[in-house]
Amino acid sequence: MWRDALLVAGKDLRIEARSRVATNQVAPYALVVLLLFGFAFDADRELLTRAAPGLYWVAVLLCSLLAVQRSFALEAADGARDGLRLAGLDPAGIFLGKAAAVAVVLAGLEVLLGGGIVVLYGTGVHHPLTLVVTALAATAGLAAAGVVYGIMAAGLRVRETLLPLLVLPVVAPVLLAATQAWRSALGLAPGDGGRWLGLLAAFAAIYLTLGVLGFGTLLEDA
Amino acid sequence: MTTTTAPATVGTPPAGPAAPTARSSTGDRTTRLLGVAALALLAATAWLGLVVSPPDVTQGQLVRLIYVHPALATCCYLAFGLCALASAAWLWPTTRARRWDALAGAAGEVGVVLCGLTLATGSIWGRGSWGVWWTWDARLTLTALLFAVFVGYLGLRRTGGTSEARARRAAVAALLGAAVVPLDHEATNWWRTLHQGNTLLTSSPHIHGWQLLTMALSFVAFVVTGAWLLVHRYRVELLEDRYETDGLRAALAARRAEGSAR
Amino acid sequence: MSYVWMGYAVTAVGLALYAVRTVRRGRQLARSFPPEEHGW
Repeated sequence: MWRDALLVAGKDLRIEARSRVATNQVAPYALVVLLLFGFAFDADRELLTRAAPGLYWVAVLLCSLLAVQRSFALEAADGARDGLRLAGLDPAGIFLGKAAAVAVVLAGLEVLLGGGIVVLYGTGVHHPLTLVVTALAATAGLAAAGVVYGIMAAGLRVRETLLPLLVLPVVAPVLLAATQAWRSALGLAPGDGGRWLGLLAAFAAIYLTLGVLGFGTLLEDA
Repeated sequence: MTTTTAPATVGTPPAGPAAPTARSSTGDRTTRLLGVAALALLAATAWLGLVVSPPDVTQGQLVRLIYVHPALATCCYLAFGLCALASAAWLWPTTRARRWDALAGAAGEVGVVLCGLTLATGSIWGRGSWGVWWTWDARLTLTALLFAVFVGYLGLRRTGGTSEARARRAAVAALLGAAVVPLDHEATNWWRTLHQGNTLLTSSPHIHGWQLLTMALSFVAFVVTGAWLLVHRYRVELLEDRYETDGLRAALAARRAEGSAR
Repeated sequence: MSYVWMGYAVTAVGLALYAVRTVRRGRQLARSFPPEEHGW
């Protein structure tokens, strides 16, 4: 399973590195979203600083949709999905591999967006460790949930419109928890984000487990 | 409600000679009985709720919405729960049967309708008592999220493919949606809590007499109504599936019969 | 009291519309098949 996961993740990341869709299209899109939030809040520095964690995670959520769509668009052409099925790989491994590739892309985007909020919204970095750990847990959850719903919607005629409707309500707790954890890590709210971090970990664990168990079923007729 | 609708002619599926038999609808004796009971119970609830029961000391007239909103919300959660259970039954290899998928689809749709009504009545109540149509309270947010999740579920059910593939996708989606409910619950609870607690389940219910009776009646009324809707919707789902698979064949047979009769 | 009326009306209309829609769909479909083939 782990070997298959590495193979699939390596394949996806290699395609990503060569096609540069994430760096040339998704990353600029993420920065544009941050700019648009600035316009929406009338460039009010104080307000933007206070809202920065939430805006940051909304931007990450939007990017994660693109990353997941991209991840399954790769398999759509040239019967690649049939190839994947016929290759004799463990479905759980395929799931973990694709989720890991999406997570790596997302992590890169998160670093970029983090720089973006520091520059554009004037956010100060206070507890880097808490921020990073929270971001890792949230990314794992987002990637796992995104890949599970991605395979469900892959191959449908309405996939581009259906995927956001399926994913966004489900990952709402991730947005909520990650935002709250970051708020306390950035000193905008009292308390440590410990229990929010727990929630993020629970979400990631649930979706990783369900994905490992259910991906084979979903892959059969994707 | 079972007998008042006129048979529609627009978009009637191509069919053989449509002899109007006693069973040319999704109703039968059981559903008629359920329907009449539902209507009577709803009427009784409305009468008790709007006329007989007294206004509340703190809530005033607005308390009359307590005979609608909590019962709707409970039925909506029941329907979503049933949808998840039926999906699990479909996914479980030994109990896999077409009817579980139909039941899940029917329960999901009835649940979405009830959930929409729950949100609407809750919003109206909130406007009356808190002065705002919406507030970021834990339970409101959770219900809105559930609504969105199951609207997505219905969207997934309307996609193409074989009925087997569709059932598989839908069943997994329903279970995944249900799996995050406890998490959503915790998250929204930690985030915001304003909503008044359960009125009936607390150890010392602070409503009495007519209010308690009406409220209990409203739960029965809405459960019966929901069951009536569910039975009809379940049969529609079965017929739709059958129509998808057999419709073309039936149409061909009908055309041939026409040709040979000439 | 107007909010109370509104709440009751929304519920009644919503349930009635959905019920009518479901029953009508059922009638249209049920007439496509002989009753003994309905399958419930």
